[in-house]
Amino acid sequence: MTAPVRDEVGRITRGELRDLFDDYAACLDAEALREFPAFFTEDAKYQVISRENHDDGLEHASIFCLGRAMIEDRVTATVEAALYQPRSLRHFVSGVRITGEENGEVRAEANFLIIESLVEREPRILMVGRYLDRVVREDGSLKFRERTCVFDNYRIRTTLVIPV
Amino acid sequence: MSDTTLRNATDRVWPEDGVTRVPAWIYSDPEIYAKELKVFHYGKTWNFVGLDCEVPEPNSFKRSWVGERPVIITRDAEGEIHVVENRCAHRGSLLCWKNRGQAKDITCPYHHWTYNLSGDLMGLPFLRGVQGKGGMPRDFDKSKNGLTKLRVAVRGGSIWATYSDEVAPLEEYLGPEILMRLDRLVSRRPLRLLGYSRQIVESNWKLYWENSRDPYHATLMHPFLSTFGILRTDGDYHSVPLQEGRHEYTYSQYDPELKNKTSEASKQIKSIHSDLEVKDKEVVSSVVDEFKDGMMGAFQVFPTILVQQYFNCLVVRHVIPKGVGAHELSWTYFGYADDDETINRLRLKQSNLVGPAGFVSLEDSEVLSLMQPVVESCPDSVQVLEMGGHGTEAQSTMMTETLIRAFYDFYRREMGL
Amino acid sequence: MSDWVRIADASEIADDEPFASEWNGEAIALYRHEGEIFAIGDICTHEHVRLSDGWFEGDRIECPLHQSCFEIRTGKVIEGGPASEDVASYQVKVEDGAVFVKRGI
Repeated sequence: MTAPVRDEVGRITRGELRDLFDDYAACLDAEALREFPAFFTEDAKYQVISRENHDDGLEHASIFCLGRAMIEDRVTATVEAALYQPRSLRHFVSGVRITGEENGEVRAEANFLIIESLVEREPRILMVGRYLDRVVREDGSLKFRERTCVFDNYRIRTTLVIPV
Repeated sequence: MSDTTLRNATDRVWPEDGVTRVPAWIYSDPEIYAKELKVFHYGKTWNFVGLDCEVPEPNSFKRSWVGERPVIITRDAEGEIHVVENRCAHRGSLLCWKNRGQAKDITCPYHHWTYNLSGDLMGLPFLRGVQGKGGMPRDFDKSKNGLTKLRVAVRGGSIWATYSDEVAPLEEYLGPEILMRLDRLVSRRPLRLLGYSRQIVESNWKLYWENSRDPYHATLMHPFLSTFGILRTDGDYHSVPLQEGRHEYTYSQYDPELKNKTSEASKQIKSIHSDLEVKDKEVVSSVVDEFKDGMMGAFQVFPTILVQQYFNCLVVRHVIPKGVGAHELSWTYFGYADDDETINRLRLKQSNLVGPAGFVSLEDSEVLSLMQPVVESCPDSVQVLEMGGHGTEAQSTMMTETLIRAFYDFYRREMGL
Repeated sequence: MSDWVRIADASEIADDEPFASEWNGEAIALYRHEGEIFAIGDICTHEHVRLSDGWFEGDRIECPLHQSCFEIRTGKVIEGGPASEDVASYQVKVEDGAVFVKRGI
């Protein structure tokens, strides 16, 4: 897989990152999953990994996608096949920070909190954790080359259906 | 638990139709649940507790569970493996808070009683008091106040524990069919730990236990399989109960050509989309047939685990009861110490198939957690288990509930129900 | 501590009572046993605690926390407790009623 040519127009700012993260969260809150893969570069790595594994250097992630094709497969599987009870998710993203910068790619971190509302249930915390990102500018818009979602939950409650 | 509660539990009467009917009260009656733990997990069974790659070096430990009881697997300085209760012999406080790590001894955070890695009490603060006052009586015997030690058996890279002095040796308990399947996965090469996924599911543990003995639901409730043509209802599939229902295994011979053939049986499943394909084929195929037998399948070892091989994804599902209405599913993914980058990548990719977000597993916990309040609300209702007839014999089809019937045949005998 | 260091008066050291002392941040305990004075490091090698607060019996000191035992003549740990390393040992001499110690035996 060859990395797409990047359009390096200017530095990526914290404000732009906040916009990216908000758009990403809005996409998931709306369950507009078909639009989800477009947030990633073609060679992107996307994973949802427990803090237990991440801190211990263990590679297994509950969701593990190498390349946008795998992200698209997960979306197709979720939309076309997966059976799950209706839910509303709200993503709350805070503490967006740039932690490094190299060759037009920025490393960024942010906290996430996802509240899940199910039928006959009060809203509950589904997941809380940190995004560890590598973001690049591609064709004028920001994309994730890597998004590692490290969740603090010891256990996932019931299931993890919608990406984090 | 008093004898009265035990007697009450056994006063329950199983429906007349035998194993083709399962009463809903077994999923919600706290007395039944308490008796299950006593008879099964704390009784004459071998409980899976972990893999040796989780305690890879001398002086390492890993937390695990036997029934609801927390235990610690340790590997001592000599390399020997022990399993002890994660409960201080003094006041019962939880000794080990960290999931995995290195330690030379175990010290209770409450009063600093210190145990060696085999569970012997080595010392306790102020045994002799301070300035001649207080302290333990002279006849206090440290050698009689160690941690509760479980009997341990190691087979290949798997670690097992039991509270029972009477249960048969592990090899006999597992039997030749399970041993062969276990050895195929954990005894031929040193293991490598890939990591954990954990989920809490708000359903009685047996609902999950039956679920993995139920091939009938696989293509229906997990549309991923039929949608992408991975597991077919008309494929080669075997459901084999063992030891009168105690354990079981299922397997199928993976046929890469099957996907391209049209199948009448598959067409009957309305969710099928023959035009859909997985873009990254590595996720859903045996690129590397590492066992050189073209087989994939799973086996259940009562009462703790389902071991599954999905292409190159190797995983142990540990079912840990957490009260009558909940269980934890602890998934331990593993590979082998000498795995190259390719096979490691395949394992990581294919682990998307099973787990809390697994393409062919997320529906299980979703459905079971919604099922629990329903069975609780109708404890005298019964389930109907007649797919594949009324018997408990091995069958070569997915359209059978023989494994569930076999399980309840075993369950009723052990529970006296 | 390559030279002799004055650490206590011999009269301070009772027969059955450990004597806790210190020199330049180094915790040292003195013991009188069968008329002779011995000195060893005073911090248990298992957990950080003064051995001199422990149980002195015969020619050994037992840690107050987890009962690791050390020989007062040599500082050597006695197998059976959680400690696995020896404590420091010191040479001892008494001159004009003063106790001097020096590293090593």
